[in-house]
Amino acid sequence: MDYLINLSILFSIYGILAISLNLLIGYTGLVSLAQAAFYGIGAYAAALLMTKAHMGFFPAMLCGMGLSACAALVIGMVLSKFRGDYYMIASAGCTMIVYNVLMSWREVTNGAIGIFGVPRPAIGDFVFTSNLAFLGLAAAFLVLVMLAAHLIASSSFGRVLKTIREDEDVARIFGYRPLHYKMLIFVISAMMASMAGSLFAVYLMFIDPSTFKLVENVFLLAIIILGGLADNRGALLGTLILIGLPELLRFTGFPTEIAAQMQKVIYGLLLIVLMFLRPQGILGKFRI
Amino acid sequence: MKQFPVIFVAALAVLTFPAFAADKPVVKIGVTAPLTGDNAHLGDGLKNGMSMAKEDLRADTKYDYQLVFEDDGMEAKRTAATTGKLINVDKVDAIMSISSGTGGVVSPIAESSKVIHFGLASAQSVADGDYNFIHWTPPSEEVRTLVSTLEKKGIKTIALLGLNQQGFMAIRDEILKQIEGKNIKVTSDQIINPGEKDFRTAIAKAKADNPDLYVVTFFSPEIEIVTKQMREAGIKDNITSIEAFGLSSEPALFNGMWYVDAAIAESDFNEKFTAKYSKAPTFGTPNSYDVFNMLVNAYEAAGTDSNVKPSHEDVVKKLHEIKDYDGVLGSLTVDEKGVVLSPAAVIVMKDGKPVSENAPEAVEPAAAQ
Repeated sequence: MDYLINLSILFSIYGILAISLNLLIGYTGLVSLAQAAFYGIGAYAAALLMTKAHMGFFPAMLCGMGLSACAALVIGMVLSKFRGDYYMIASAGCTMIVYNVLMSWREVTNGAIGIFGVPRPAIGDFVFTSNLAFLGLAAAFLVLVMLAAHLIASSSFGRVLKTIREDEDVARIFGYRPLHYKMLIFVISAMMASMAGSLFAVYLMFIDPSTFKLVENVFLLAIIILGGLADNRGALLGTLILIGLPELLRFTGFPTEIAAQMQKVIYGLLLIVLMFLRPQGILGKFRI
Repeated sequence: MKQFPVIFVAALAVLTFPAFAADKPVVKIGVTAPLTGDNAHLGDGLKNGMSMAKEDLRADTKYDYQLVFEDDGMEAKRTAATTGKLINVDKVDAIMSISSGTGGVVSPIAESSKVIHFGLASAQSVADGDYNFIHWTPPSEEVRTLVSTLEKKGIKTIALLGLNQQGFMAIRDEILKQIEGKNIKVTSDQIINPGEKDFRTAIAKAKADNPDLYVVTFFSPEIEIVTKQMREAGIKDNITSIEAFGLSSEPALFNGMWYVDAAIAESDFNEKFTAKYSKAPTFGTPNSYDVFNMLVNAYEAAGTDSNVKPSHEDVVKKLHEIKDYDGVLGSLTVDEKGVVLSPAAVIVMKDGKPVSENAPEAVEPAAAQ
């Protein structure tokens, strides 16, 4: 049971990340590889403020979200100069910059060694020490993010985003300013990713820069493409599959000598089959 | 026909007797390690080290010892999942991990679950708490050996060139700390981020100050690349390292050079391992062999009843009592913080093989940090 609780916590955190990225890619058509950067900013902001400034989790998380929003404003302005493949490459550069800052700014981030002893969140005297309690917290944030994403998607704001995704010039003809809309959704998405990062830091009680590499964006991208773009349920389904499937494969009972390798082979094959059968993703409404 | 039930019961008794006879309590030891991906060779070495230790185990133990391996790919999120599975599904009594990053994830989970954890890690925080231990020669000990060797050889200036990685950064920090007040000066201190392959600019910068010695700390293949590029730049033999030469896939490249390594395994162990698995032990393989045996000894010593496993608290107490244990990495002692103190050694690479320049016992283990 505790194992399932652990996996559910990971599902909640990656669910938040997937939904945040889906708002960018699925709804707005901005293929961003900067999500791991905001994920890292949120994680480090919470870890540093909690361990060095002894701040509580919730204010630390809000500070992280604020910092991510500021960073997203700057990054978003720069990225607004690019379109299509160039946008993707430039956004990947943002993740690389943040990763290298986390690695190299050793006086603050402790570099590659990472930050140990990040405390669990607390409300008054209640500390979220047990994983079940922590799951409640992570799930609550996931629900909050789902609601926000649903509101965005079903609002007039969401409809403009979809119009921008289909044809930015059409949106402009109708009097909308695509830059403003793209900046706003970029900042909202960054704040959500930052929230996930803060949760990740206090869940593991340790962080180092290795989690916030460029490859983490590829994992997130795989989640939302597999689950289906422009559908928040698809993002969650993709998270469930990509977090759950490798764990399920641990129970296949292969001999120890080849178990890990065989699990990887089966995992890869299943993903290929899924994409072959549903190239638009399982619940997808949009293809890149 | 009337005899059937009697025959059936008798047959059942015969068939199940061995199972009952061998029904010792089982002690499960879990290993979370990278069994796939870039660092799979490390996980493979750990797995084989633990498996060989289990096969070498004497038959008359009070308890059965089982190993459970899980692949974490050396990723934090997967390590959290594997640790959860090992503790909650496999119900392991102890876990072993490799690297400071992985150990950093396992350590708080093991502590809150009261499961014994051995990390092969240089970050001392991995040993925080009652249930966490480290079996890795501490950077302070390796650097102490390096600094005393530099003094003996009359080296006054060094250039540091190292990878931005947990273990190597801990070594670099320790070098800067330990040379304070000594007659050794760092002329250049350059940290290279993972992924870099062209070190020529950094080498040129270091060479400009003409240091007596270059201390390079990288994994393979960077360690071979940087050494070749240093030779291109005219730097021949005044290169040393901590651990890195021993990690090289081209050890002959370092023939004639000396370096400091974590405690090195006995040659008998290396030969036996190589004969069994047709490959040499990797980083941490002898440590994993020792960890298995220290856990077995602690369990056997803590257990007063062969029908009941001792509690984890009692095993932890016995682990803390380990003193001068004769491991494959030499004489091992567990300090009060849970760090297995093992001596560092000065190694010279001869014919592509590491040879101890001074006997490990000649170097006194450092006091606990």
